[in-house]
Amino acid sequence: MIIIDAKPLITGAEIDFTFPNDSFITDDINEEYLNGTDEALPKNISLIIGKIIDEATYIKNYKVMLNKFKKKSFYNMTGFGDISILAVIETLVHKEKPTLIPEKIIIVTDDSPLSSFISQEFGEVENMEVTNSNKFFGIDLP
Amino acid sequence: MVIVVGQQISAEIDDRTFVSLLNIYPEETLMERKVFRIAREKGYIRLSQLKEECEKILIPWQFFLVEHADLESILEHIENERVDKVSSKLLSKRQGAGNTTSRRIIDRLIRCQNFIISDQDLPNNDFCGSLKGMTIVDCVKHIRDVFDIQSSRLRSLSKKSDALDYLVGKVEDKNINVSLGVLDNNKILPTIDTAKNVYKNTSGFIIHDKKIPFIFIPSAANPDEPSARQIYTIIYLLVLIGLDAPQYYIEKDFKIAALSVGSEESLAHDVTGELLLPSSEFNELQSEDISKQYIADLSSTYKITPTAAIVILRKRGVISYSQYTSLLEDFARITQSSVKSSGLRKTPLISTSSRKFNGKYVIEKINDRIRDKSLNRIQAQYLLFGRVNKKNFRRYREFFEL
Repeated sequence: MIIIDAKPLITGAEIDFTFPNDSFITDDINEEYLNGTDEALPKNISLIIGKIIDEATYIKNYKVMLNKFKKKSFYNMTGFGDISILAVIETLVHKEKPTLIPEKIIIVTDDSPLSSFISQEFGEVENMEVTNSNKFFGIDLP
Repeated sequence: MVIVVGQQISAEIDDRTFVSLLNIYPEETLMERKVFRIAREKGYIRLSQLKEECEKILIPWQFFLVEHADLESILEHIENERVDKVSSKLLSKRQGAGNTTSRRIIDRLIRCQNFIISDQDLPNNDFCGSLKGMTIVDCVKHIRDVFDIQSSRLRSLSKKSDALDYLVGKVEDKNINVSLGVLDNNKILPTIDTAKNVYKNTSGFIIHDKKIPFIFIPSAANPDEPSARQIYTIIYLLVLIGLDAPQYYIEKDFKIAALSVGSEESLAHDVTGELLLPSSEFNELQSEDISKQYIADLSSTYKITPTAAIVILRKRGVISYSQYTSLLEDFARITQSSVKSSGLRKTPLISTSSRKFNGKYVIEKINDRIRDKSLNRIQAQYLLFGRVNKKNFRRYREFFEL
């Protein structure tokens, strides 16, 4: 399962990358993408909420992460994509009732504070890896 | 209160968060909106309803999930900015007194101002405070010189709306951002009824800054604000900037302040009146010369409202108190009978509405930052429209070739 942040998603669309068919985004990332580019959503990208995780639990965890992750700004309306990714991870690995799917989860993001937070918050989770666009796409991007 | 998704209970909303957030603009009485009222009664709200309602009131739904202590901190920051930059008298106006102020407009413009002045080493605007200690005549001369306002040009324009455009252009040329209230189908401001009523009663005001002060003129947002009134407003607010007196604003009914003596406000009205209706051109005027037609002609030639003309002549002692009240009554009757219903108006281009509301410097900086990709599109939309609106943003970008 691959969870993709907005910037790598936009990059992938721009370089015409064929995403694997287990690639997912959140609703917030979808909105960032649709408002951040004139490209159509790439093939094989699906919305994770409703398909893999239930929205009620996701929203509960969205609230948790909204209040934990300090990088967001209500003033500039930034950081909500990050929170949505964190909420997805939290929903998948929820400690009381783990629902971690027994396969590798890859988070693709170029956001350093987000990567650091994921390592800090979910460092002990096995089978989860955070990577960036360069490594994911296998090319050196400017 | 809880959020319900489908048949499941999801996140909790702290009741204090709910109340604080919906009181961020107390004049809009958002708590009384049906969806929120029912939610409070029942103790839950559906996520879809919350998102839909937030879309209408232009408050991000995520705010409702913020812990109360953090939200209070955010709201405190917002309030501090308001107090810092806007007249405290403007903020203290209470609903029910017939005068309210849109805090929403204030917050949007403060955000725009902060956006302009952030990461830029702009010089101070020399006009700020430059009128202090000057006589009325010297103030007028200084304003005309600094802003290159040619009275002959102003009077030569046949339409008052053109005269307003002329003045706005002159003011904006000197690093003062002019914001004109807009209320149209582009929905840059919410069009819910409570918000519309607030806009109608919002006065013209300044958002203080040493580098790029803002002037807000309640124009299209208030259908009772004809161009001539807006002309008076922009000059008056300009004078306040020159006097470094952001603690004042212009009331919807400015007569009492204008006729008072000895205050900074009355001085600002005197300068405004002198600039728009120079006393030197009326030295020979006698009270018996003043008729309704005379006032109407003054209004047309000098691009001021009949009310402003009557007040100025009263202030100068040209007309008696009984003439003053009689003329005001006459023109109040004329105004009432000539008020046309707004009817169906064509929606302006989104670029026009954005430019009017945000003002020249905000639009220029946003466009520059979009071009160099240092401002992401979602942030740009929140600055421009107060919300994300992909269709409007596409049209905006097409217009400005971004």
